[in-house]
Amino acid sequence: MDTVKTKSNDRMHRWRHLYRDRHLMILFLPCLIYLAVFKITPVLWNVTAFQNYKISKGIAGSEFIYFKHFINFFNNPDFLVILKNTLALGLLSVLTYPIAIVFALLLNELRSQWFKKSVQTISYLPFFISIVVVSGMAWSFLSPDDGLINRMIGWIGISPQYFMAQSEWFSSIYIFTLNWQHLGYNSIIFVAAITGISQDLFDAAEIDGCNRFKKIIHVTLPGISATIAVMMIITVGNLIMIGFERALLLQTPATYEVSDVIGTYVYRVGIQQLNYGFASAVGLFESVISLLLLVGANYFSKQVSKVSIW
Amino acid sequence: MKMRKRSFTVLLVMVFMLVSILAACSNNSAEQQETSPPTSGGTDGGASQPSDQPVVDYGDTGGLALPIAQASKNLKAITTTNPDSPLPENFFTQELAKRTNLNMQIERYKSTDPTEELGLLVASNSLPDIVGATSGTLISRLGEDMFVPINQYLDILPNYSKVLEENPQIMKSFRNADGNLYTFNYLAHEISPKVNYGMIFRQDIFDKHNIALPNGPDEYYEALKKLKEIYPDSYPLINYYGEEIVQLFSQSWGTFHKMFVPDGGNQWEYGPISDEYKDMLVYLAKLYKEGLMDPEFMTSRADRFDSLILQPDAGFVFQGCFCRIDSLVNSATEKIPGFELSPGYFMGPKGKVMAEARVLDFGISVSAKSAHIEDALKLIDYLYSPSGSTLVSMGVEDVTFKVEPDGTISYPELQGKALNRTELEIAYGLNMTGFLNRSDPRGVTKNVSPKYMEAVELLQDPFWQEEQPVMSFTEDEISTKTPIEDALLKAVFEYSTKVIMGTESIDGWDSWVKKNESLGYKKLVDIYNTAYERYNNQ
Repeated sequence: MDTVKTKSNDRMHRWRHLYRDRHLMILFLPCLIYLAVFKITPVLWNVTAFQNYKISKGIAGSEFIYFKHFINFFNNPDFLVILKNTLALGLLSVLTYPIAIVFALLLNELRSQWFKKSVQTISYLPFFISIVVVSGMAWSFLSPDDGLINRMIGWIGISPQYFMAQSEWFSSIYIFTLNWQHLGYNSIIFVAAITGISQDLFDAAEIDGCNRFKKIIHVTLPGISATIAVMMIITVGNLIMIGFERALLLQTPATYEVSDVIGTYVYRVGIQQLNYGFASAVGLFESVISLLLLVGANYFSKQVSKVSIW
Repeated sequence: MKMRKRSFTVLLVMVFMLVSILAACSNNSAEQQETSPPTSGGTDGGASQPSDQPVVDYGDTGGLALPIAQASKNLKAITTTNPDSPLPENFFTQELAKRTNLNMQIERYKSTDPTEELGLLVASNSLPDIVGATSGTLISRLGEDMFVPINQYLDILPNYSKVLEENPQIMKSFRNADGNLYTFNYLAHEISPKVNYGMIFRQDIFDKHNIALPNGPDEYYEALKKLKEIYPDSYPLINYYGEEIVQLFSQSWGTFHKMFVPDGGNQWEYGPISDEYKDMLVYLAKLYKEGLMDPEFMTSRADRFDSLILQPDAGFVFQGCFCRIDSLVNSATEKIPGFELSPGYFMGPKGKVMAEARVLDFGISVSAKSAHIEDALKLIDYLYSPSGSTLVSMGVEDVTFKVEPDGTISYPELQGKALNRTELEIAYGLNMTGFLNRSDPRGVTKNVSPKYMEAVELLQDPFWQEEQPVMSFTEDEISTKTPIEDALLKAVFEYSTKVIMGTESIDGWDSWVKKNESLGYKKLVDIYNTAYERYNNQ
């Protein structure tokens, strides 16, 4: 029943393919509707970024103010600080992403299947804990009065520190809680990719005299390099989009100079004041930056490793 | 054969998925229909009065004719209420329906800040007739065209017209940019006692160790130090406002953490760079350094505060609302016998704070899309009359309250319960936010507990001369000043908390002033003073 696939651009062939795969298409339909309603249509509604959007007037009734929101955003005295904080935290989260790769490599080296499976399952459980709960845990552990960390450093004679109020500690706490939550989940895809490497290659390496460490460097890593490249490109593209929840939950007034990010700023000045046009404008700004980063990372990857998303 | 079986299975799976999605959607819409109150049909319980009922004298209605509607009508309202209050109907709505022929069904907001919820209601064009907990600022964000401009209907609102005459600052301060007034305002001075906020301390601890009532920074310092010596594990000064502690304390130092008009002054100034603000920071830093202040003050809100104050000897002095005293004492006396809280003098050298506003930019509005605009307006106007204000604050004489022979008021059905706004709301739906904008002078909100009265008597002259003027700004001014104010406030909280905690030295004060300059505080001062000139020339 399989038609021979020719390279012809015959429309008739395309429709035949579509008809042949109609069940897959119907299966895909809910996803398509979801994408259309929640991802594609909001791109059109970005027009509110150029309007003085009032809820009662809607998009049709709100007047156009063109780039005024953007100018207001860039003229804000704190703009550079906010941008710096966002990029810094984004960059740190990208640089710590490879920990998931290392974790996947280590998991692969485990002999006991039972142990490997349990470690993997336990490692991605924190992903399903709410950000609010994880931040609450961070607050509890780091409390100067009765937090676990302060008690432990008290045993070796250091006086209790109010970590959450010290700017130097903010990014560490942020990145630590982020990776603790996401490590296991991020490593899943790499573990899956490693299982896709043919066992013959490992055997060949063994014959050539590789020890375990050399096998990792020369067989495993090259084998998942395509996956690594793709995941890194996507992560870099999301660099600036760090959500505001974690920053909002972990920040205190004493750490505003490092903890105020674009998301928390827009929440205060945009959403809480019902200034949705402004919030859209900043969101659009973030999306444009993300697009540039994504295209840049893809190009870079293509040049360096011949692997790219497009 | 196999292909047909497989395609059949795939089809079955897809049908199942579609059906489950549809089922979920229909469940949601059914839920929504259930939660919105029934619109058709009046209340059960004789609300629509036949016109041949004997005329009842409901007291002074201020010139408004009762009933308001000839035929029974239904109105919907939404406001902030206590979670335990009876909704959508209660004694208050039923009595109101009896008097006015307007059956009101009240809904409550789902969160304490109704901003986003109101945004959704406006966007989906489903605002109820009467909207409580509004303010001029909120309405300017939601869109003035969604609400009724009250000033254009004053000819049918005798009671509120009188209120506007007696309180000229309402028209001066609370009108929106288009010159209209959209809220019926909350008359704070008629509802609350004169002073509501101040220092509170553990009377029993102070008595036990013979510590005199402190007045002013030096005496407070000595008192807190003595407490720390006696209770070394305690933090004598605690707070539940987090970083906003500077807002309260700066006032009794004669300044403020934002723009303000000083006591006896006639220009707007920027507080956080003044010498008085510096003095306050130095003083609080000293308290912090010597362990006289909670080290986690910056993030200490209600939960932490409650856990500290309800311990025998963890914290003793705080600034807050005198209304809290009774509930805290009630919670504490089981575990801590003899627990007593009393009001004290202010901590700062000036000994006075900003005058509490007599009228607030807060109240209740009517939706412009309502089918019964005039009826809704008159209903709210009624609540400003002597008859209506008695109803909303106390209920009905000999039904909910009784006047004893010696003149005191008792609430027979509330024996054994605390006599406050909350209990009356839970029992009868009285004193509800949004509806309570004026109170009978004998109402519970004005006749507060003895401890509260102590505060009012102790602080004889607690306020700066004038209230802070509330000015209106043009849209250009608002869009210029909002980012500056946000950046400044953030910097103020950051700097203040760092100096108090000792992570930054007060010696860097000059660079602090420079930072404020670079953030643009001078521009803010100009904007405020220009608006002030406009305000004065009205």
